[in-house]
Amino acid sequence: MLSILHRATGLFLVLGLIVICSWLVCVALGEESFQMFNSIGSTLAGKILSLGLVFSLVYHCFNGIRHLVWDCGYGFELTSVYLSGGIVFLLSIVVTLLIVVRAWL
Amino acid sequence: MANLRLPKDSRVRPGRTHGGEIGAENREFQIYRWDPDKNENPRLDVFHVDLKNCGPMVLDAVIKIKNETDSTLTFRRSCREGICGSCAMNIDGVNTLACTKPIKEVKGKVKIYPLPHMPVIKDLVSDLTHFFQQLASVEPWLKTNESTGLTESTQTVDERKRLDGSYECILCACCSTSCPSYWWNSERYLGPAALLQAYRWIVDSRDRATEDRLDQLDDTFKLYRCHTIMNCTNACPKGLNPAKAIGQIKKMIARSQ
Repeated sequence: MLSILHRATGLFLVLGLIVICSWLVCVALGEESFQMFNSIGSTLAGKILSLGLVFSLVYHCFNGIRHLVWDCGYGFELTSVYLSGGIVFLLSIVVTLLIVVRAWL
Repeated sequence: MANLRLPKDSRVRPGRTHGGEIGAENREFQIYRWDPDKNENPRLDVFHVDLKNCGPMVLDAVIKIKNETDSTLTFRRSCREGICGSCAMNIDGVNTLACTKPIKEVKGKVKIYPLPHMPVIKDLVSDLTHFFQQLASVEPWLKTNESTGLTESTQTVDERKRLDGSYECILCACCSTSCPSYWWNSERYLGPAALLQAYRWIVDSRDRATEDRLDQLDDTFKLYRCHTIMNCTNACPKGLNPAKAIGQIKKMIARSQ
């Protein structure tokens, strides 16, 4: 389940790049378009999307580190796999919440 | 284009409910059936087995069903003690050996399917031709370039220890057929079982073809379709760790460059 989530978040991040790029374009086009982008971003849908993007980035990053450890030849026992998976998932949720709380409050 | 559903003629339909004793310790078995000679979809047949009059393992129940209820039920089995690897099937959603899986470990109805994502020959018998061709492709035998003559080819105790965890593989295919990467790319990805065997010969101190073996595996598809999903290790009825062996092969290739 976590392995397919790694793939899904990776895919989502690529789509997120389009959002980031369009944000940059809006910034470059001037104040008006920047305001428009921000007003779309602060709607509920915009917030859910950014929450998803932040979680994807954080999870993909932590799970990537998990993959690096595997590539070094460690952590292949089933117990360590479940443990590292649990740690990565919980850590991602905590860090996502921290970022989001910091950004929105 | 990816197929998200099975083709129409492969979808599993509800099947027949077979009679049979409904005993004190009755357990319902749902078993995948498909007959190549009939132009019918696969179906899920229902059987009832009284556990009081049946051995403890799933294989005992399947044999009992074949003996007493429906003799056309087709499956492979031989040793009934987890060493031949014939009776690998998908039981209660997990690939395992029917002969070492206690019925009591399954809660509720016992659902039995053939190994996932393999061509079915009949009922629970899947076609492993390609699987064994892949095993052959890693040339699973000792290669030496020196003439050993009639003397023994010895190993130290430590060298022998490196083979532990890989020589025990019985090639039941539970691991490879539990791997999503193998489901999607089995034409070109070797799968955990063949790679574990490749590893078994790579780490053998008597083998002289280590570099050739690593070269042969250094391929985007053959080896690197493994994404450490870990289903293989989770499924292995012998408690081996193919994922770890694949990780070691990747590491050895990285080091040798």
